Amino acid sequence: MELFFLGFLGAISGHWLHPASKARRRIAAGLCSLKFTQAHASGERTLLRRLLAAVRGPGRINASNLLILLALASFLFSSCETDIDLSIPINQSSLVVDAYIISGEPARVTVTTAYPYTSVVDLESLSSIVVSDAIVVLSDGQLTDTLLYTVDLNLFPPFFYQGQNPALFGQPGKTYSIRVISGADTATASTQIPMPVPLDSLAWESEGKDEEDSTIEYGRLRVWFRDPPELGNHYRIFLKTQDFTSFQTPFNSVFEDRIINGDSIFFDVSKPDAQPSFLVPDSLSFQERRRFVKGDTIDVRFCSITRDSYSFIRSFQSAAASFGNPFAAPTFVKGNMKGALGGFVGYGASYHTFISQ
Amino acid sequence: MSAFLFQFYNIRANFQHLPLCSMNRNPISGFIGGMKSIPTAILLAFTLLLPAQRSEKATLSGYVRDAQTGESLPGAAVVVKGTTTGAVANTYGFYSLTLPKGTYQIQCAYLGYLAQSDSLALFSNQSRNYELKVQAKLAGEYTVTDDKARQNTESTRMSTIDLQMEEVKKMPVLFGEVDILKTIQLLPGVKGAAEGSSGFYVRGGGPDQNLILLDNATVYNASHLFGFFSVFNSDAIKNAELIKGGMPARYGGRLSSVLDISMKEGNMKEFHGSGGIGLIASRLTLEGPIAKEKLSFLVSGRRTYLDALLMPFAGEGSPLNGNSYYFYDLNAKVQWKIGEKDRLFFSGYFGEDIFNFRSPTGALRINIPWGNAIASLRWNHQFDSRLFLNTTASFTDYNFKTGAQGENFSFELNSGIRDYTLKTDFYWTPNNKHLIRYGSEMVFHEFRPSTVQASLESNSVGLPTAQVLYALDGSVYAEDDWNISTRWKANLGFRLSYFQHTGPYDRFIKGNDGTNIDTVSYSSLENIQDYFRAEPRIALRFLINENSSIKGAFTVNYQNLHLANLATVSLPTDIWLPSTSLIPPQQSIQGNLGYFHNLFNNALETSVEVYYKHMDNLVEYRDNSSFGDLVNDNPDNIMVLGSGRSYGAEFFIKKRLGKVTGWIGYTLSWTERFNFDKSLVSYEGDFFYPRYDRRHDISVTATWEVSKRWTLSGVFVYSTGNVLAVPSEFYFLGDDIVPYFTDRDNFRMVPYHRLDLSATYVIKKTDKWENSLNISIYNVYSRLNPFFVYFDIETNSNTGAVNFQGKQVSLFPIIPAVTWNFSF
Repeated sequence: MELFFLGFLGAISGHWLHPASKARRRIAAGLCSLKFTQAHASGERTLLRRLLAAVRGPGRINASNLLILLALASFLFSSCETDIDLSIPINQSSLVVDAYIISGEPARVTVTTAYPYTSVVDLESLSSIVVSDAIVVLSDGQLTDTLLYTVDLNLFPPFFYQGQNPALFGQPGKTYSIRVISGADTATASTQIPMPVPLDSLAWESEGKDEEDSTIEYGRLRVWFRDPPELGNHYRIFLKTQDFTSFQTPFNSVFEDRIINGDSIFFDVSKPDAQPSFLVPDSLSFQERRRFVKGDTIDVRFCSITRDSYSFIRSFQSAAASFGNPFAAPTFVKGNMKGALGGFVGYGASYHTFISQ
Repeated sequence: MSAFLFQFYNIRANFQHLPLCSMNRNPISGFIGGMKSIPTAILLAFTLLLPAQRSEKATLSGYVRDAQTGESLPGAAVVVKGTTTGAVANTYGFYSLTLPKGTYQIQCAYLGYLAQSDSLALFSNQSRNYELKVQAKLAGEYTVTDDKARQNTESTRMSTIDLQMEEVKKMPVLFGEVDILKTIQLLPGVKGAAEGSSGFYVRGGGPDQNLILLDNATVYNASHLFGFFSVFNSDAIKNAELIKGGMPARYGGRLSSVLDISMKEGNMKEFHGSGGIGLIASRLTLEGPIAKEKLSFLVSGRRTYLDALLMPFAGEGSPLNGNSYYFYDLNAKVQWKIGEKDRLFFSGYFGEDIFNFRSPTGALRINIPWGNAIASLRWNHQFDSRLFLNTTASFTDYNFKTGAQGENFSFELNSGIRDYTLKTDFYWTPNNKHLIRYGSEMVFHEFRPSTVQASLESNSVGLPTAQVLYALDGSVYAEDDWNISTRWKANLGFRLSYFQHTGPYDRFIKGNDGTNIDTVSYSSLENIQDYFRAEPRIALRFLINENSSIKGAFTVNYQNLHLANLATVSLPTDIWLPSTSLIPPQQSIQGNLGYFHNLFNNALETSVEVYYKHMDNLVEYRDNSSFGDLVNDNPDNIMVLGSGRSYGAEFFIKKRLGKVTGWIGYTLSWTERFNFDKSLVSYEGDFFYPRYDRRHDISVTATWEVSKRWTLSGVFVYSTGNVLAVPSEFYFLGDDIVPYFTDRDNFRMVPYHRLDLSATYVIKKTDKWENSLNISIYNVYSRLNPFFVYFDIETNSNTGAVNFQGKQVSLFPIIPAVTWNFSF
């Protein structure tokens, strides 16, 4: 119960920051990262996860709806659940293009097809939705580059088309467009990489020692940065520790500067999952999943993104999070990919490393 | 010529009782005074059209009341025996009948009461009050055929249903709690929002398009327990009227329906009480005179006690400790008969739902109260035998709060709506061909979408609050119930409304990319945007013969309040907004046509009605909008306007007399939404079905009075399932599984059907004391009707397989309940 209520506070406090006072910022940051309690049984965990997803999703004062849902559930013990068929007939699986380009790195484009509802998603079927024979071309207005299909198990998703020409690696300020041809489908999109905004500093926020082993200290990362004075900056943060194979996004990784414009602010971030959340074994405790351990080396990739990219990421995160929430309105993902689902995002990255001692 | 002047002088003499006088009685603002001159002008126009024979007529007027309790009997008929000439008592029991001078047999009758008739010499204006005695039922037989029975065919009122509380109380209900809002969902054209919910949709309109009045005061959220029960305690209610179409001009402000509920007035003669103990809640009503025949009171309370029952199990160590849910209702009424011509009524309603949660360690406490506080003061004044006035001043406050407290933080979210209203209604029967009603209404609204207070450790923060919105809402109306001839009758009405969104207010002007480029501030009571609207209302009845008629109506309605809400269950988090510069008033144009036929000497009422309604300026939230969008923004910036239409046919058969009574209703209907900007509100095709489009809706109710002691009753409902959006595919973006919605109405839930049965056994019945036991079974064959559906993502973390499974959650299987009712 505490979990999603605090998630509620976290969800709203990100929006209720006001530039005026330091006290408010401290409060808001504190609200964002209050202690999460540990879920007990896995059945409860599923319910909690679904409810937590509901918190992050859209819906009118969705968290209040949520509290009421719980009140309902606890009040009426005899609720009956049955399996039903919600399948909608479709002619052909839709094409999905998930493309991004980070400054200083080659473009990466994952091309898949969508699953109809009745499928089971496992590592086997994952390979069946991957499109490995598409033609993917990147252009910056002058040069073009045909991306090659690659498999790299350090990244997720591990299969993608990667840029080959160093002249077409991401550069801040430039506009890029891609074209994907798979069978009879053609998808196109374009995006811009904004100028990166550097972070001021990073610090360790302790969360206390482990109950059993007092040599282990848990904590969060505190990030300080100053937002540029003009309105319209949008950001996404990525983190990794020494045992991650690639950068991952923590909870609430995207935000905008509508409220904090021009200010110097700080916020706390928790450790992301090293793998996709649905592959994380249930046996890991919440502390182990969400808390850095003192001694970790934390790498931060702090990226600037365009407003369109921000809207796109927020909309599909909302859609994914509200998936299953009966109180949420259907989310129509607004990606900039024409001719397919998905989008093309440009990241203007600044890198920082923090070693917690 | 002199006759004409004489008549004119008489009319002028009557004007002395009109607006000028009443302005002295009720000190009101110049705005109201100004508006009152309009009805006067309309009145003048009417009277100049009347035939010039008034000096040869006399008027019989008075009140019709229950002989034992003193309650007024609205709708009672006072007729010249053997003819169709007569008058109907108004909401306060007042009737006025103008006839040529002479001697007549006058009969006063009301369903369930013994008719009274006597001979009257009417040569000058006379006052005659009737006190009717309840008819002792002979095994359920009502042998009196009265004019009320013929209202099915005779009245111009169509699409209107009068609910008798006696009927409502006999029906089987959820948890044994008699509920007027659940009963109206059994009528054709009215659909319930969700399983157990008391929200309702009328003829394809949204849940915000119903005007719910309790003693002339508006009720905004008529639900307890997330919609499972309504706020109306049926022990305190006298009657209720539901108007689905052909809305007369005296009502306005909502597009789809009016549910006008009158509380009992209170027994002026004797002290009585009634109550019941049920599975979920108990109730007690006490009424009686404070000063006999002068001052009476009525107090009625209801409370759930699930929390009290659980208290012994919720001791310090128990996980239940600190958790509770309860609701209560309190209705109070005081009636003061100031004199023969004046009465004052005070009604109050206070109700709240309170949910409390405490975490096992006590570290977190959550408190969510929400409720209504409604008060109204009404003054009845009878000017003379033909003119009657009711003035109401009322206050409505609906508030929803979420509060939380933890070890080092506290938080409170508040939202609500508050209305201050002043209303005046005149009833004027210049002769027996016209019943003219006119009046005005003035409301001051305060909308509080949400305000937040938070504090962490010792610092308290007033986080930027959403703004309060203020509005002025005024209207004037006039309508005439005109008996054109024996076959033709009309109700012609006109309503003019004025609405202003008024300051203080900050308007955020948006740029192309959605960010704020400017803020315009308005000062207190500054006119930000106003709307002036005209609403004609016309209803006609053609009497084919004594037993059948054809009725038609055409109405234009405007609604200045908007509820953009997409939740599948009715929740107290609904946010009301006024019309603003971005959102004009909602509008509907509706036409109905019906054929009404009574059979077997009015024992059976049947009707067929078809309707068509076109609506404009309906609002929907923009796709993917969220709570955070309300910060530093105006809520109407994220709303999109569109249109809708609904059409259908309603079939109704009602058996009113005999041992077995009840009705069968069937509605075939469509409702569609279109003309929304598709880049902001996604849908495929030219239109989409909103959630409450239900093709078929069937209700069957039956009550069988087996003997003096036993009554059995049953209810069966069937309706097509709700529309919702289901994703057709899923895809990966990064490690998120994203649902792909192609349309917002691509799935329909399975049909809903249910049978309820109940039995009432009268244990003891004497003059002084009556008690009975009611056993009801809800959902007799335990059909698992869908409450909501969702996708469950089942993960097998060993194999890493993810499976999507559609799930349907049902709420109520078979539920028996026992209630013990008493009265004294």
